[in-house]
Amino acid sequence: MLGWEYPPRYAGGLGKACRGFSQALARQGAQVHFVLPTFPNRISEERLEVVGARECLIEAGWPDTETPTEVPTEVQRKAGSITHSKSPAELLPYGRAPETPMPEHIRKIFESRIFSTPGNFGKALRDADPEPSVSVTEASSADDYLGTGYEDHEFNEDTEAVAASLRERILAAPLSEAQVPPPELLGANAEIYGKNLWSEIEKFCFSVRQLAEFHEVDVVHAHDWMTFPAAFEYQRITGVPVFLHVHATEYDRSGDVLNSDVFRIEREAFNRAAHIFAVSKYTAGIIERLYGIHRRKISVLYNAPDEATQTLLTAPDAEREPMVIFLGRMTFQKGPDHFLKAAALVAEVIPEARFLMIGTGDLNEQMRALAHSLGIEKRVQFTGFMNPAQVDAILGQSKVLVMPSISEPFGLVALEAIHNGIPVILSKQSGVREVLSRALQVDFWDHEKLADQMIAALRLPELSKQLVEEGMAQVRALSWDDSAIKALHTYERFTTPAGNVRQKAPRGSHGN
Amino acid sequence: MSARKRRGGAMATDLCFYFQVHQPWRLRQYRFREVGRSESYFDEELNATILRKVANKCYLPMNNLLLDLIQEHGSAFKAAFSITGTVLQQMEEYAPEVIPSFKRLFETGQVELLSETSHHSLAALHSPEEFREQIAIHRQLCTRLLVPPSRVFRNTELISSSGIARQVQELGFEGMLMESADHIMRRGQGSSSPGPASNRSPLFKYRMKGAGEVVALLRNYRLSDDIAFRFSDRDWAQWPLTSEKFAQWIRFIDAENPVAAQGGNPFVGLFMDYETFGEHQWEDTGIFDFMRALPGKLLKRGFQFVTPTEAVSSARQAGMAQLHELDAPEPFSWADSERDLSAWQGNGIQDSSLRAVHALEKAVKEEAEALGRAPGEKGAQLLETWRRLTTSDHFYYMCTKYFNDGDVHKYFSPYESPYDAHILFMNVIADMERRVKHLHERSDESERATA
Repeated sequence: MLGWEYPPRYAGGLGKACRGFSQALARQGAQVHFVLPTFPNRISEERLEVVGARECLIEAGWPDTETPTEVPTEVQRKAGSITHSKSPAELLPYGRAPETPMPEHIRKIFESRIFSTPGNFGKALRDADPEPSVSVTEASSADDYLGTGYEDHEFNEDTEAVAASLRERILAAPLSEAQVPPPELLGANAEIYGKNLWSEIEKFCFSVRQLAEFHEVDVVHAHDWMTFPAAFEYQRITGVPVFLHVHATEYDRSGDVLNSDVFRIEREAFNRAAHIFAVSKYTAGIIERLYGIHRRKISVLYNAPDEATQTLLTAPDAEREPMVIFLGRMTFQKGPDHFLKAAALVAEVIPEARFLMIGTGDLNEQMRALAHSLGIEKRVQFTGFMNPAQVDAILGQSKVLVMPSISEPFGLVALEAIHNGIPVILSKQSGVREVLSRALQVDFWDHEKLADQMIAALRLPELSKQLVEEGMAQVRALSWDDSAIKALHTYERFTTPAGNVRQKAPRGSHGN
Repeated sequence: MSARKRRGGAMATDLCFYFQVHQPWRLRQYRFREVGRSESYFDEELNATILRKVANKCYLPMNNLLLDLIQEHGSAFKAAFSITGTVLQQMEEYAPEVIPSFKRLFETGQVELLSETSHHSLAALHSPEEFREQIAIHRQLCTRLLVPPSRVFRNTELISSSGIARQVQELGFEGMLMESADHIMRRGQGSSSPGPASNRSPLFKYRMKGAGEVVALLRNYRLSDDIAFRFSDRDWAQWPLTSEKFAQWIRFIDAENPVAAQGGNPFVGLFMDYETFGEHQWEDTGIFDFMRALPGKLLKRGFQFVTPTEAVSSARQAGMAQLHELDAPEPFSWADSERDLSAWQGNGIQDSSLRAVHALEKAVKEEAEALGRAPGEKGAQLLETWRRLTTSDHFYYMCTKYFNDGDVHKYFSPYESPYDAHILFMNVIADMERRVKHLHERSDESERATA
């Protein structure tokens, strides 16, 4: 298992999801070896180990200086991830993509040595090549883990055409010419961390390649694009099948001003992978339509509530503040501007309503300016980053959480809000609504309706109560174990029948 | 195909077709921000579109078909309708040609128009006074546009109980249409009873406990739903349903019926939404051809058609004491598989909506009085608007029982979710509250001014 976040080193839903999924896999009998680029304090649980690649190599006697480039900000970044005080660094892969062109030496890894040399891939992978192949096409429709029927998601022919033309446009962009977003969307620190991320990725490739020399596993399961190159680097050495877990695509992060280098990495990886797990049908649809991947290669693994989450003693509705919450990175993808525009409409008719924006990102200053120009600066409070305990305390005193995302692969925070007794308003462009259908839902751009739903949540206690009760029943039905079992079944298809990988431990990976 | 001869000695089975015609005044996307700024709550365009669509797909062609059947079979073919006040208002406004089309049917004398509430409301459960008033309004409206309705009553969605039957009896009705809900039919039977077929058959007519003068005519839900729900269901083992096959099924019932032994005709109530024909079951399913052929097939087999009033009269002539008694302390209906009230009330948003609208009744009526209740006057408009909010459909849209199954509630709902339905409804209620309160304040001021 390759990942970039794992609690306590995490910034958002990705870290929690990686932990929930890994623990469930271990519970289901798999031996899980979770490798991050760096993870100072190794975690050892039953059948689950969480380690940093860098620390592993040092332990194995590799001199730390062997890492390819000096990365002066790394210590800073690590510190930030633990204390959460430097969140922009952590947020980078899920904020805007690196703004600088991919350095030439990294391109070499991505293009020449990994993605452009299919001869280096194991048989299992060739079987699973994007061209219709035996192992993929033979999967009958009765197999519930392949092509999990996301076709019912709301895509129509128009979206199909738009996706195709967008894909062509991105691929037509000359290599190394980064798609530079409009300056107003750029965060202050984007440049520094952008440069950093490419070399982080390269370092990870390097160290995972070394690990492959003395670590044997049956399958590689990689979480999001930053880890994809490392996953295929591992495969190049060992020939094991690679499974990709998509928590977000470049499209979700950046809309149609996406970074073509990141997009290429993702697309190439999707093509090469044995199978792709998406966190929702919504995301599976994007992978299929925008990235042009066959739907039978994709299945959905839903997130579940964090098992570490304690149920709060949420105040009764009548005692809670007339407060509406935005919680998430202050980035384009999360739609904070839509929140504010709807808030301004609410403020006109509900004098006591207040709005809290929790989180930080490249739109911090812009959002303050927007609140001002909408005339609601006195009603809106920007808290900046808050730690989970602080967030929970605030949630427990509020009336409703709004997620007006423009594109949200899942939206784990919605499950947490319901878990804590707070109703949520979800944008229809979010994956979580597939498992939390009993929520208020709205198109992010429909400010009038969003405002109306906010007002309703503020003034109709029976509605809030019912949304929480019915939503809670749905949240309780979600389980990481279900996702883990589904993943194990999928692994089996690529490991046991052909016997081409390894004979033992057909159910999942094993370390050491 | 030759009609088989009826067994000798058996009495004729009475068949009663009853069609329900209804459309609600659906709300538009009325935002809370419009409270105090707009008093237009209903979606004129949507309501007009749906009414015209249903008129063209169902009301007009089916009325013609029934008229043809009456011409073909003479006085042997009969049927009954209930037509709500809200759909009559919409026909007047959006498709006036539909009204004479219905009127022609009633004028044949073989089609009966039943009594009901004007606004297809749940008033029977929430306000006896409003219940009476809506029945009277319906009578006036039907008399003006069609014919006076009969002395047989059908409550909204066949919602019935001993208590409602008593109200109906006090209003002078002689019969009432009800669902043959299993849980009601089983009530009061000993455990040794072999089941509904013994003495709790929908083929009997009943009197209601606590309302001994009202004849209850029961809907045969199996046969009715064969047409209304299953007709076009290709997964149904009996698909395709032919008029021949259907006539055969009724014959089986006739042969086995427990009523014959006790004297009196067995009664088969085929009660369904009129929109079944052409709207719920599209024309290309063959539903019209089925209905065109069915009466002939049934008449050939010796069945006879009756109107509800005829069925009630024959029971009353035989004596009410002859009838079995049904005891229904809790209301039951023809809706959903539960056959209870859970389609309209029981969840938090339904109950709070119902409370909110019925809490306004007194204030709205006082204001209406003050503003003038004559047609066209402001008070009459206010009261009519409020009544349109009592229509059961608003609460049906808020049902969350089968939310995830893409169920029948969702099929009928013009809103995106039950929660959105509740929000719109409560926004409108907020404006109604404001209007009533606002008027109160104004009248207080004028009182002070005159004092």
